[in-house]
Amino acid sequence: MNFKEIVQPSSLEEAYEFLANHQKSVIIGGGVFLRLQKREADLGIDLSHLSLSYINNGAREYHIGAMTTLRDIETSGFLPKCMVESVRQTGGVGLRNMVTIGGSVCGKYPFSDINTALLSLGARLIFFKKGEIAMERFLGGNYMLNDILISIVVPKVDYSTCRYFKHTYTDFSLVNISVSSGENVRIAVGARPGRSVLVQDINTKHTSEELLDQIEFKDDIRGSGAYRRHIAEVMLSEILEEGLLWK
Amino acid sequence: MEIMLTINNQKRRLLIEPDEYLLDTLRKAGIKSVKRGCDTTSCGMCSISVDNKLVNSCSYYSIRAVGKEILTVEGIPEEAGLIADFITAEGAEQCGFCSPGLVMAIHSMKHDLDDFSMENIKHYLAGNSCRCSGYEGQHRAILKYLEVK
Repeated sequence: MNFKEIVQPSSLEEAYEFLANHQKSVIIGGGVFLRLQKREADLGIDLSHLSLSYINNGAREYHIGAMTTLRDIETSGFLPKCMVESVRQTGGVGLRNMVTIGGSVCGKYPFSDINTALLSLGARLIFFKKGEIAMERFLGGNYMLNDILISIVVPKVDYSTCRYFKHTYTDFSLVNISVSSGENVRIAVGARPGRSVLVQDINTKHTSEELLDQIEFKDDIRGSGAYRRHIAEVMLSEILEEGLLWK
Repeated sequence: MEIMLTINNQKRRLLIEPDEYLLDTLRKAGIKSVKRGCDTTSCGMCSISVDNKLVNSCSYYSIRAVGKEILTVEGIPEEAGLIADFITAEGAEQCGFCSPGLVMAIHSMKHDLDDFSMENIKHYLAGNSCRCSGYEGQHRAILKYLEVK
């Protein structure tokens, strides 16, 4: 993506003013995937001067600033396993030092591994003007918010893990699965190749095949829906066989 | 627009396009070790250090580097030379196009990692592709270099 101008606001109010007053403006998080998009915008709004890079370890929740990089998540040492594992093979270290969690969420990228992890954890998104929106609702909607993501709230869970299948170590996932259990069990599937979605009807007696019957898998140039479905079943079976999800 | 960058401990006043990437700015400034490979943040040829963090300069906006310390192979000549010696001794230096990026990744890895197990080294360097060596020679060279350092 090409920008005619890039501004670096020093406050959220200033950033929002730019966003509200310029029709063809785009918020820049890490800017990595924007780089690959072949379109032009009048104004890029760079959020890197807003002190939105932080991970706070609260009593019941983690608060993660929107400009926190995937490498910061990988090396945090205390975030849920499914988050940490989901980002470990997202490109190389150089890329993970640039890609931000906020950019990944707001891009609603269907190939994203971190979005599947956040969905499985029941994360909530905090926007500057519109306030709190559940990750599930945000990913499910087709609307684009004219707002700035400030932070992501991740509830603490008892257990979480994830699986993904890639052709090569740093490639996009062909399909990914993330699960968590705390107050309830959540299973999310992504890179189907559509956006991450939750398995709605979860029963401890369900097999991986029955659980994934609720999820739609599709074909694309990288693999067929049937292939993705088969891989997903194997990955979810592995997780269920570990026996930690239903505790 | 005009910006001031600190490249290899030297202040440089440079003219850039608003959405210019650091790879282009550095090469215009005469820093030719930084290579353009895939240009999609995948291959690591353009790896440099910004404020002691490894980044792919092909996707890093130059404007974001203002006020930060940019380091390339030209800024660490002795260390780069030593790493290159080990790579050459293992027969892992072939076309050489990936070497500057690899050297910068090794430089960052030394500061980032506590445990230099082969698993950790491979994981850290997974974003730095090499189409010639098959990596085995590089890995041997890195292990020997880390023993010396």
